[in-house]
Amino acid sequence: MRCLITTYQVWSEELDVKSLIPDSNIRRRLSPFVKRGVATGLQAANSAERVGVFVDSIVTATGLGCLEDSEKFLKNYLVSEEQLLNPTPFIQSTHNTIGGQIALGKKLHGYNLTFSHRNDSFINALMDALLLLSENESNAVLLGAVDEVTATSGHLLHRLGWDKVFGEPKDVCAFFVLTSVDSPDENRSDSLDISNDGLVMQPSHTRVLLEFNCNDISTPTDCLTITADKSSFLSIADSLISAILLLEQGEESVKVIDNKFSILLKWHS
Amino acid sequence: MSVKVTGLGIVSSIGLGVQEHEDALRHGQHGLKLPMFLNSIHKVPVGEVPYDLSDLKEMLGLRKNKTVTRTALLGMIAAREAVRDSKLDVEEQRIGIISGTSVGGMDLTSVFYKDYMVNSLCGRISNVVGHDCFDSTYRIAQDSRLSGYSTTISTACSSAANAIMTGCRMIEAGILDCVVVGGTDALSLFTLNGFKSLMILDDELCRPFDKSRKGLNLGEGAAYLMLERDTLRAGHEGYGYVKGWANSNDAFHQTASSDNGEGAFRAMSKALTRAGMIDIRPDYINAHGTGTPNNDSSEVKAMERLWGDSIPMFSSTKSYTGHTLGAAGAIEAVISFLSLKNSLIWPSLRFNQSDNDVRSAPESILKAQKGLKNVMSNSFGFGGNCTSLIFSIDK
Repeated sequence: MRCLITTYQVWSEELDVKSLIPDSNIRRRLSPFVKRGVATGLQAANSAERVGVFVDSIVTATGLGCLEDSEKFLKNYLVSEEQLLNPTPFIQSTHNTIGGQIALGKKLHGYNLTFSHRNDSFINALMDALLLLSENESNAVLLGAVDEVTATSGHLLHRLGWDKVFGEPKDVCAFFVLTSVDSPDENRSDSLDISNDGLVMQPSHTRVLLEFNCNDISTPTDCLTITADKSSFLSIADSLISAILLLEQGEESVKVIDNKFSILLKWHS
Repeated sequence: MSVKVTGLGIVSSIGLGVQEHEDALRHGQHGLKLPMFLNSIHKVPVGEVPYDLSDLKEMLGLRKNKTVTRTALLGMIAAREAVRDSKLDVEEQRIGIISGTSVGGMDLTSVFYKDYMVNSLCGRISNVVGHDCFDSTYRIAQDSRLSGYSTTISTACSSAANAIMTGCRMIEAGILDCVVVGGTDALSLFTLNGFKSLMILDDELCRPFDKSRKGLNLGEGAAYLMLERDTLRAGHEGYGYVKGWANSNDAFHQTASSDNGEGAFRAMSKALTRAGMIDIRPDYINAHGTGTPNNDSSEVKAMERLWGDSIPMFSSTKSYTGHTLGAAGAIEAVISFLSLKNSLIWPSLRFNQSDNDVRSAPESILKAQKGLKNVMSNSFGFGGNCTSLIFSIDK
């Protein structure tokens, strides 16, 4: 299964959250985690628009969902003995909150799904995005990976000894805009505004080709290989970002591998 | 290629297994009452499965001291039934499992956290390991020996409907030959207090589509369906087919539905197109129909936009089971297939009078409908998530 990556975005303090989420009421209510995810996803979608690619579907992956909101609501009803609860953290505790808020922000009525399946969350979401493109159900899919490490989750992973086995847990917040390999290219502008965080693939008329292979764990000798770690349930998304950065630094192709699959990235002209 | 349904499994407050559901639906027996096991200060009726954790473990033949969330236990019971019913040798197939859940193992997380928040070295750690959505799906897959593709979808109250849709798409794409799809969610203080804080829990029995409706009753349960490529066992008789599916977003509000039901309208229209039924009305719609003022009026508005004054017969079987959240789409899919199997339209219980918002009236008494062929089932969730499925007797 193959697709093109048009733009990508990882969370950065430099993102202009105020202009990305202009409604101050919404901005105030969103927890920091949800706000970061929504802003990052919107930025990836907006960057794609500047090269004529309009996201119509959203697929997100999260291993543990909105932990901060979940914990806040849990604590509130336990402490208050179920009295006079503020519904906001409950409302925002669902795993699809970020996907839903992005749809709301961009008035996207299309397909919108969230996968939550521990270490496979992101691969399952990627497969679903590829399937959507192959079904011609979507012209451009916004694929996101969002997980946060909270004080509690960090502490519990430590109590379980997971950090010793898999490394210190990390936050993940990365979004990609995927289009079909045969998607038309006419609308792409010649001069791209790449001053804004360098989100758009460079040079302007090349995009990254992503090739997903199930059951392909053979390590090739002809290109750089990144093995996804297990420090986060969504490490593969981080590895994809690292791979894209390597391409931007001049590598011709980079492979991300796991024990079950491989993802080959290379420039597409 | 068509997607055939060859196995059904279900557990909810109205019964254990498909047969008990059929009986309860026929006799108008709902499962809503004050809970026996969920220990809340809010005295509201809920659709609670009348077995405690040790009963459920015993049914499954699990050790009593094994820590398993209620969500996973309910899921295992329903999935076992669906697999058995399909008569498929699952170990010989290119099979998968796609399950939906909204809060996963929150029932035990809540128990854990009560101790943990007092002292962070306290709380039985095994009670929190099953917190994530993955846990129940993994345990169900292990229990039913489903060794292939496995994933969990979590889109709040449309989770199970989306799992069914995803299974159909993967069969169509030729990625899987058969797949167990559905969802599971257990009652928890988390969700009960969540809906209470939103002021959409009715402290009486819920009355979907009725003028006096005040909100929903929460329920719990699990249901799974075995889907297979129709050519896998060509001669094998199934319950029917999944002919249409679509997911759309209302893009209106995180929890409320738009007045004109935009997301619902789009999901239903797309599912009909997918099923090749643009000019064919479904014979019956098993509505999302939670019983909240907002949902029910928005859903009917969307139906009226599609069919004007002649909207199909519809009802909400949440008036029997309560709103089972992440499991609802699968529970209602099984109930829809029981409708097709028996040519019966299940009534919306406790409906008396339409109001100005909800002009069209649901079916309120059990109705035999000869030649019942197509049933539509709607599931809507937080985040504007709207899914519509179409089940059919014919290919």
